[in-house]
Amino acid sequence: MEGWCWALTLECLLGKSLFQVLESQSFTMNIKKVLPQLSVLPPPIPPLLSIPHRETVVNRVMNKLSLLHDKIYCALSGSAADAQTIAEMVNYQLDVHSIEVGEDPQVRSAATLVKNISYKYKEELSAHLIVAGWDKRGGGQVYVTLNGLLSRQPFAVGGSGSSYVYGFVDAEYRKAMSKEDCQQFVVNTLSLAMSRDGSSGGVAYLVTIDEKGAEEKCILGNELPTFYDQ
Amino acid sequence: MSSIGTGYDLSASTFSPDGRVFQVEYAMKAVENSSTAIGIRCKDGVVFGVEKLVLSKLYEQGSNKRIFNVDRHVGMAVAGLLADARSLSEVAREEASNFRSNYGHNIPLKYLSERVAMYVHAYTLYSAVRPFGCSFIFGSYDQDDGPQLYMVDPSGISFGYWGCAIGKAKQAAKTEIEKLQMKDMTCRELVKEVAKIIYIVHDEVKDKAFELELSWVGEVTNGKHELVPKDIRVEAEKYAKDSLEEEDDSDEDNM
Repeated sequence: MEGWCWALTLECLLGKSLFQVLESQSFTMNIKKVLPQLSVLPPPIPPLLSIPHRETVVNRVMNKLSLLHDKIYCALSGSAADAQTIAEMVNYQLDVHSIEVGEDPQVRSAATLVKNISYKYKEELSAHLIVAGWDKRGGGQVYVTLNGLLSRQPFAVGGSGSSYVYGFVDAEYRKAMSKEDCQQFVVNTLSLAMSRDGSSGGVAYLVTIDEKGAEEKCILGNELPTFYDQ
Repeated sequence: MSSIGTGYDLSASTFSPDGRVFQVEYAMKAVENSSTAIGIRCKDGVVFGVEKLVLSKLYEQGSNKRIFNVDRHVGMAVAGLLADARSLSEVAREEASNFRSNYGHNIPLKYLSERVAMYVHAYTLYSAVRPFGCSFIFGSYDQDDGPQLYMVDPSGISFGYWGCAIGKAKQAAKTEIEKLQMKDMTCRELVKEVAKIIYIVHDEVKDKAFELELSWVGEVTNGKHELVPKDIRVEAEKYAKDSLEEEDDSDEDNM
């Protein structure tokens, strides 16, 4: 019974997406997502019948930037069900926490909550969430929670297309970029990854978070900057 | 002042006809039987002072501490039944530790004192248990929030303060505290004043020997709660004793 219910939700096979999150000193933060290819696993067949074959359904318009709180977002990758469930759980926990404490939650708290779930269930889950946001104590912050670790970084990349752009981000990242430079940097990175990675493509979602709040933007595939080979 | 609750005071789960829960009030009397503890919040930190009565010369110096560390940045001074206070300090430590484990940062003092107050309050609801017979003063210092001071009493309420006192001489101590301009003082100045207040409210006739326990948390300790270092404590006690003598002298002059 469990297996049937599981198969009915959209499942994303391992890490078919690229997203990038980075912070800058001017208390803003951008998150960029590229849409993954999602696959649907057919319902598991009882042992009597033959082995199932994979069918692929592509969804290029899923927004993988999930809200954890007003000024804290997380970027999903890996199994869509796992990632979305973690994000929902943490969204609820942060709601309760912010009411109990009486102020907006710290980005660190959100990241720790995600990390605790990722670590506790690391054998069962297959998802990576990058948590980023703005709070009044630390300004813009980015936390990586892969496999249950917790690490604060100036910027982070993840997902299947990320391996193609590590060199680019390492070379081009500057400390204390302005908001516009940040957004341009992120869009460039995504565009490069999308063109090289077979599993990535579609549109790019961008979220900029600062003291005033979060601003979402969607950049269509044909509006992205082009480089060599495009 | 106190009325006998004949019949309505046997358990915490009973109200009296005039709307009081006598067991909780009796618990507060237990706090008033213990020696005084004060906590004062200043511009850059919090200072605790406890008048620790020494009942026997055979006690090791520094035993029966009444100031506890709840977390690196939080201190707790108690008055009342010491055994109750010790078990509640464990509760507070667990709260602080769980918070850090779940949320990754220091527990805000308001939240900690509310959680401990909720716990204390739970014991005032049932006849199977008795209320805790102790009050505490929590103090902490944080880079962003600054110094904080909260007090929890046996009824399970908690309030924030600039200065508060618990124990037998709390009225006298409160009067002294109100004379201070604590919002403009630094921890170093305040340590001396706290020592002086404890010496003032100490009753020489009824209670003979006492030890002064002093602790602080603030910018001066980098946000870490610790006992005041020996040399500063000695200096503060000297200041306290000297100012008491001055007052005695000036009394004689008036005569």
